[in-house]
Amino acid sequence: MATYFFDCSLFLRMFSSPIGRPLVKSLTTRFTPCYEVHFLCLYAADHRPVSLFGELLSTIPATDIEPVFARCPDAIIASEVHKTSGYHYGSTAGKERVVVGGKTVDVYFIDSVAYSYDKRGRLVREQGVSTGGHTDETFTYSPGLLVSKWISYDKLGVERQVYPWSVALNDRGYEVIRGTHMIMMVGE
Amino acid sequence: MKPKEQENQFDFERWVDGNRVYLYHTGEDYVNKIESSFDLAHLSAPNPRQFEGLGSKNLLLLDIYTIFNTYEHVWQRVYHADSYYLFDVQGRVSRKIIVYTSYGEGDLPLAGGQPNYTNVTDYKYACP
Repeated sequence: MATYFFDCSLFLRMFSSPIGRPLVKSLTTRFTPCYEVHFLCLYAADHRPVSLFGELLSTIPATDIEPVFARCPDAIIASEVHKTSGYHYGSTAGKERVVVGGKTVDVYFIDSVAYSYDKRGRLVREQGVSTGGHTDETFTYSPGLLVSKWISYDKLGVERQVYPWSVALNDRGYEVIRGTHMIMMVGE
Repeated sequence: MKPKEQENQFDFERWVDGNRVYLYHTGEDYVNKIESSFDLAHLSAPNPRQFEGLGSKNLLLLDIYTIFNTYEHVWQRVYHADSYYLFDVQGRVSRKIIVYTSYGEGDLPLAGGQPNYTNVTDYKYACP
């Protein structure tokens, strides 16, 4: 019965090294909800490596690799970086060549956004940085109401625009306006 | 999840299995339609702006934008948007790439004068 013990061992050793980890991580692909494929290497739900036929390859204690695969099922998005091949304000910052759908395009940095949340997981601050300046938006929740204030700054940090807004939250969290609806939180 | 479907004077949405598969938007002299397809094997990335509403449950694969020509009384495809994804080792979306392709001469919304363009979003996650 053929197994891929050697490949798994090599993979795990690479993954354990600071140098090999980025390479391996960039080549890994999630395959099914239960198993992950890394090169020729399968993992059981508890992250222990198994052969293609399901036998455990347990020469490396699961406790050694567990931190690498520490899961966070309720993960929240901490930040986003946006790029586009469309209008990019003449800036070539962050240029990157992307191959997608059989075509090659150049994309350019537009902005990055960092999110902050309260203990209930609600967004309380959104900070954006672009080539033209930065923005700061805060969110304050009270029963049935969300109040927000959006401020934009230029490159020198001078305040340019302020846009306060608010929205009523209902039991689905969001006032039904033109068919937009549904949210889970209702304020305090 | 309770099926979501509602109709008012502006919009009509059809939701199937937690995903919005149709959106009709009606203006004074036009009707837009967005028809969407999803990857049912993957969950969508969470929306940080929760107050905007709960979006579709699964990853969006394709949007087809169509407008009703009120003069000729026919539906015309305007453009479609193909979505591609990369995942991290934990199966979460680490990169989303959307390729917008126009069917006609007109520019795409927010495209800055380009009939076709590509948007890329990279995600970083944190544990709450």
